[in-house]
Amino acid sequence: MGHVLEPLLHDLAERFRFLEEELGRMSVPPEAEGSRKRIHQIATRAKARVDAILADPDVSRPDFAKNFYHTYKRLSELAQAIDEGPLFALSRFRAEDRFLTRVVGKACREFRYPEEPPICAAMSSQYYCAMIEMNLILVPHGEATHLLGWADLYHELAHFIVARNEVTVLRPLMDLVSSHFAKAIDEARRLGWSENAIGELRLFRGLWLGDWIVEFACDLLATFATRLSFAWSNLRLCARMSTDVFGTVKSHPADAARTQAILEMLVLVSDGKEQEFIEDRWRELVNTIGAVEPQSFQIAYPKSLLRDLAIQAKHSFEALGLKPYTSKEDHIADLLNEAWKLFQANPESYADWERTKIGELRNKFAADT
Amino acid sequence: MSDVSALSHEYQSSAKLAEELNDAIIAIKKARVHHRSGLNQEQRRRLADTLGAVRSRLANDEKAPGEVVPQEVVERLAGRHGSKMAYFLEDLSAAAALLSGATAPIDEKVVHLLDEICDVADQTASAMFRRLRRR
Repeated sequence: MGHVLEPLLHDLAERFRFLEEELGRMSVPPEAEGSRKRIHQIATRAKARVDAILADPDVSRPDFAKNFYHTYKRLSELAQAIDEGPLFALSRFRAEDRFLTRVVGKACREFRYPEEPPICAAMSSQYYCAMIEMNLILVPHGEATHLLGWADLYHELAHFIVARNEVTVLRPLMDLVSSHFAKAIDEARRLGWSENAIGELRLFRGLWLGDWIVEFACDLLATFATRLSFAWSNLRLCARMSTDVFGTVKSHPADAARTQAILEMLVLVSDGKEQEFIEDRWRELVNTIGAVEPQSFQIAYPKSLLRDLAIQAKHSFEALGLKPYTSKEDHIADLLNEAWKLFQANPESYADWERTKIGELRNKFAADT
Repeated sequence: MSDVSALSHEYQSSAKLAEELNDAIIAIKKARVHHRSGLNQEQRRRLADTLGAVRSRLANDEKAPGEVVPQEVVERLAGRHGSKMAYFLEDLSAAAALLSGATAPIDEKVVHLLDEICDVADQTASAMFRRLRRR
């Protein structure tokens, strides 16, 4: 071949050979076996693909070089993602990971998650996060012994659903956003807004159509599936981590806007009292922080758009066959709602109750094995 | 919850787009070099849909057809074409129309256009992959 890609492809083939072997001989608990098999198959297919490229006579032709380089890059990224994600998690799969994976599996069955549930490992340094292609959720080390953050698992599960159902879930939401900002920009022009102000509307549209809409969709799904516990979990996370509840960053919309969207979904799936209760607590938090809503906030996050998004999202989730939260004893979502209620009512004795409930859940899983 | 999930989503979308275009370009180039049939009708239609979706996002249409195009890909393409966007939109429309036809030969201009979008999707995927690892 004699091309710059040749040694790189041989190196990649060797990496996939290693991954294939490691995953092939690895022994994991039954909860993780589906994941091991799936990743092993991905590694095997990728290895075959690298071998096919190495055998392709066109790979050394200059007019193909860039395209095969692109293929090399994607496969390289895949090898690294397998190594750093599932291989790392599966090779150290502890009792806590096994427990959390069963919790995720049970939650998935309860709200009719449409695919194979991801595995969950307690080894994150980035709070809760989803590695979508690898079907892996990472959570902080201590989460297996604390219930109050578990509603965030539903937000991470939503990332898989949204990524794999973009046309059903994401596109109708994006159409609503596009339509809203097209009208807002036309109206701004008619009213003689400055170019800078119109530019700000375009900037918001771009941010919405980027990462924001995905985050909103995931929050809406988590609220749809758990109702109050996700709303509480969001409030706790804002209290713990927010630097400015009205502040906006590229990857995430403002916490206040996310809370508003959660409230809009609560209006659709619960009685008004629950929504009012959360809203009152949110106002208390905002007042305690001393945060003031900036003028541009309603322009960036109009209430009417958030309401329309919640309505459309609920429709899309139902079309996918997902089940909204309904109080049912023994369901994870119900346990979480109960946990939040007890925590609010009696925070001093909550820890004992939580320990007991998690112990019961572990015993139940053990008995089911 | 963390940036990782959002980046992971955007990486997957842009990598998928880059792969789809790259595989199509390789198939077209192989057909030319080896004088054999290239894309079948279904592959041509899918490619036309993708170009239509890119066009629609760049034109800020209220309703975008086809697959979801990652926002960063849209922004990078908008940055490249700036004031000459109208010509680029025309090229996209023409390429989508040609691909929608079952037999019309795929000319160099279309391959060049596919190459450009593929490059941008590839750059976006690589950027996301690096951001996921804080490099």
